[in-house]
Amino acid sequence: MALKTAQEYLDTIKKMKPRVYIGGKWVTNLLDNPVTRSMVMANSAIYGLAEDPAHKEVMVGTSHLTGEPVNRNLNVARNIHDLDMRQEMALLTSQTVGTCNYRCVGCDALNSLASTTWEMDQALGTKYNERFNKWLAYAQANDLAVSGAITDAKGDRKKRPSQQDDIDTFVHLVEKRDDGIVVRGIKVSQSGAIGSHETLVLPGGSLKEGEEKFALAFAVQNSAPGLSYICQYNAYSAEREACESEDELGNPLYGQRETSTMYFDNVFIPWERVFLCGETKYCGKMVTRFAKAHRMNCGGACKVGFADLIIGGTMMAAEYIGVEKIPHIQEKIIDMVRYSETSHACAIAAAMRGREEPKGSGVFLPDDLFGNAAKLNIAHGFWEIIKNAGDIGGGLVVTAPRLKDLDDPEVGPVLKKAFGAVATADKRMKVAKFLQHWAAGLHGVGTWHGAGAPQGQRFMFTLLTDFEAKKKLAKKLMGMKDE
Amino acid sequence: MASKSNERGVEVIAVSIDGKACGNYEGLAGTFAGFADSCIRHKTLPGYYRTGLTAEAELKGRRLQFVLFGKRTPVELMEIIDIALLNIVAFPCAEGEAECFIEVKSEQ
Repeated sequence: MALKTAQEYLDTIKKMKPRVYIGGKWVTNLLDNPVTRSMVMANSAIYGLAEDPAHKEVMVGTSHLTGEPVNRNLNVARNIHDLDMRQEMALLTSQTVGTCNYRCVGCDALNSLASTTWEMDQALGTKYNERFNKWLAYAQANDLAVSGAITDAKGDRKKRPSQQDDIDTFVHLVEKRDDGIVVRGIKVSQSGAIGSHETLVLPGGSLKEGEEKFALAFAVQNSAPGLSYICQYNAYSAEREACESEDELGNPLYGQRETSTMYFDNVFIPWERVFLCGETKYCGKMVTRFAKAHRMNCGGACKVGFADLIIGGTMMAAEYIGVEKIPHIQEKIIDMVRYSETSHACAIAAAMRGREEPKGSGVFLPDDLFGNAAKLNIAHGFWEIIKNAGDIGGGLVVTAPRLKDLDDPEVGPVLKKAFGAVATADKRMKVAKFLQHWAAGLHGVGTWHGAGAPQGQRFMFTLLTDFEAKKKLAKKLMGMKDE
Repeated sequence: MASKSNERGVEVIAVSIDGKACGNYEGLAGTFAGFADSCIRHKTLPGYYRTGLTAEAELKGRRLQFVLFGKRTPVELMEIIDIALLNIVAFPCAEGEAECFIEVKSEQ
């Protein structure tokens, strides 16, 4: 069975019992809690996309290990077309669920692992790539939902991992055994592990000699004993738990974006799942390769899918009050398109300029500069997009009563009078709630920090840009001679 | 000579309840080690963290024997083991010669 249906995914998740805490309680069944259910339903919808013949080209790849069709979320990019379809998948999934494709980080992590473990085996004579390929073949054969965990809690940022007062702020090695390793520590802001079968854990950044115990990459089953998830909890979580009907919410089925803090309390990882253990020299490469893939996908495609939804909702809001032909409204909507499509163009360019990395590995990764440009552009552009959505959507985006209040015999008629315009009050309020999901939700900060905060992309621009070459070009045209 | 499952990097685990064979499961190699670690070090089963299910557990090579707290029928025991194995991503399989063995008993 190479491709699971949405229902088959749900059937497995019904039996999965990860140790999950949310808003003051432990969750015994992910599908019973309305917040965790929204995450699982989003994953289920992603499985569903691969069943649809209309999306096969985007959602289904070919395993380089077996030649079988596999969900693109488990595919290692072997050429430019794979990279292009990967970013198209990020666009399609965001347009479909209006929240994370919770398999996305896992996909970019496994591409980084495919590349970096190959390089390590070549240079060091290790067997990491062989192990990784066996893990990947198993994941592909069972079409597992695989998430990714990268960001350590990090503690005092002035200190190195081993200097922290509590080194649990970084995931680290506790014990090496004949059959595997024991790890502990904390990863934060992790998207969707709770509803996945496995999570790929990578180092959070570059490491130096002497920091070997923090140099770890492995796959962990999400119900592995000792592993706990403490979910985010916010006003949107509370609203989802309290509402009488999810139809009243901004994104009824799939919710905001559900993340958790992952606590590894002496978790055993068999050697067959360990893909880096102590090789500090390769941590930076592993993270950078993950980042270049994720910046193309998360920055230049996923958020563009969100922008498409926001632009659609904003145009409806304008039409519902009769302002859609006013020039400054049109100009603002065009600006929203400009921000998003520029980022998508960067993602496409990153895919088209992708290359095998390292040479001989057979793994294709996107162009670094364009991937970083995609992410940096959307980090700033997304605020502009949601600003314009709030501008055109009006105060109603944050001042609307409950949709259900329209049914109240006493206040309903008043609300219909107050908010009826070109369109009826229920339509206006529904769109306002949808725009609230974006403009007053979690996605602004999420877009800023997801795939790394913009300072990271600025740093990469500094590294990747040949400023001297640009100066030479200018000097040549001006007729200035080099000193 | 390596078995086919070894070449694929998977292992087949045979489950028996009160001495009676109940089925095979396939997981990535290392799955049995993870299951045994759960029973012996964590004194529980994957997916059953807060219940403290395992009373006694002993590992002899690739054979894990353990007793679950409470009196349960073989059907109930199998249901628990099925969920525990799924929770470390092992799935029922029809074929394959088992390399690992899980032998479960209920408290007498």
